[in-house]
Amino acid sequence: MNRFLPALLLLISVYSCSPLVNMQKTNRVVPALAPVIPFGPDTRIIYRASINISDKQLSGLFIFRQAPDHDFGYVSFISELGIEFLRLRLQDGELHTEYAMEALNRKIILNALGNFLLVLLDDFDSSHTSVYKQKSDGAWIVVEKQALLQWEFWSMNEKNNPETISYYKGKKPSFILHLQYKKKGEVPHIIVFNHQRLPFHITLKKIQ
Amino acid sequence: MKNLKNEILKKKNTAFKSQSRTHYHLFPVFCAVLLLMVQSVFSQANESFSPVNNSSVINNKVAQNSADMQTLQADFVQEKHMDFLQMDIISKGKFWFRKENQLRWQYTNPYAYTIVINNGKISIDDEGRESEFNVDGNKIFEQVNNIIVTAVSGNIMDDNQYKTTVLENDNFYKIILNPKNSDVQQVIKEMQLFLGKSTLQIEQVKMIEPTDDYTLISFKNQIINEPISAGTFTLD
Repeated sequence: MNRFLPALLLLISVYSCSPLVNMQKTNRVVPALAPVIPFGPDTRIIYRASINISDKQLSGLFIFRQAPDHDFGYVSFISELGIEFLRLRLQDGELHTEYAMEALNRKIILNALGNFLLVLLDDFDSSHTSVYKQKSDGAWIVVEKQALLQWEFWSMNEKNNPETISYYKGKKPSFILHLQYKKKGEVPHIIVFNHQRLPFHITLKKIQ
Repeated sequence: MKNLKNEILKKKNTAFKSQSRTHYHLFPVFCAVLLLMVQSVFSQANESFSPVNNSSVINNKVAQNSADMQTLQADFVQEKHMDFLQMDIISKGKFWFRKENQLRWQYTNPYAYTIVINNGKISIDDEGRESEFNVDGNKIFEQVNNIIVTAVSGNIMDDNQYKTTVLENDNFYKIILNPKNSDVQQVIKEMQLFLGKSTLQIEQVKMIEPTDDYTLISFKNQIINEPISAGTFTLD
């Protein structure tokens, strides 16, 4: 019994930290969740980006691209003038930094950007378990990450598109995404990222 | 009467047939002319270049031209080439430059974005959202500012920030700038300026990054030394 006590205490403490603790589980079937920005052969999506880090303003274009003959994709952030600030490679559900301009090459910035992008790009089937729960003020899809102390709350609209995604580490949200759509079945037209612990905000507006 | 109608119809048909035949005959010629026109426009800056014989003469001419230029305005087309993109990203806009360091760089398509550099301050209008900050406090913009102003003004021949090589072909001078500053080297590996030989006006700028991706900016409708109002270099 003593052998299992630490594990039991850890489980209780993890569960008590979870933001899911006050939510009621239902028996409804979980609808299939597609990534917010699905990567596949010949993906080419371009957003206008406005990034504010500690009151420093950066703007440019966010490019999501997978070539037809590749099984990995790239996310690149370039200035309007075409100078590349950042390039990340998405492969097997992980983001790898290929290039980062010195000013952006900080662990805290890359981690926050990486988490933000993985929430948009991640394929749920392989790395997540999901549970449907009901709140009194509306329907929630609760996506519980396999890693300890990480949760994503997806608030779906009537067309089954996520409108708000809250990313939790512990009881307080780390960041919140607000998504707006022009048409059903399309990627979001506007994505707003607000970090809750860092002065870090991103607004993406689709142009292509 | 019937015969007359038939004859008229016959003549019309013959005329139509001969017109069609004429069009078919002209079509390859038309295509060839069009191809030549397109080729001449796009290949001018791509023709092979060789080192100039007397670079100091060119240096002086370009430096004099740059010294004489007080204002410059033009339309531009920007093509961003990245190795992982199959199609370049194209944006268009207009810019105004006034010596020494006043610049309005305005994108109109596919998005509205204006950057104004005025005496060390950068103002940005990002689709209605305005922001302002000092160039000195922002390393990235300091580098970008330097690159834009250098490219637009052509004031590079006596610039000790770049190693300069001058090449030429029948129509263009190609000035290759390799930055000496390690901060700039991180952003730009090489900058190529294409100046019209007869006008010494800047026609194209190619900025090549350390990854060999590049941005090609082509200028059109250049207007030199026309007065530009001070209000152009503010966002109000």
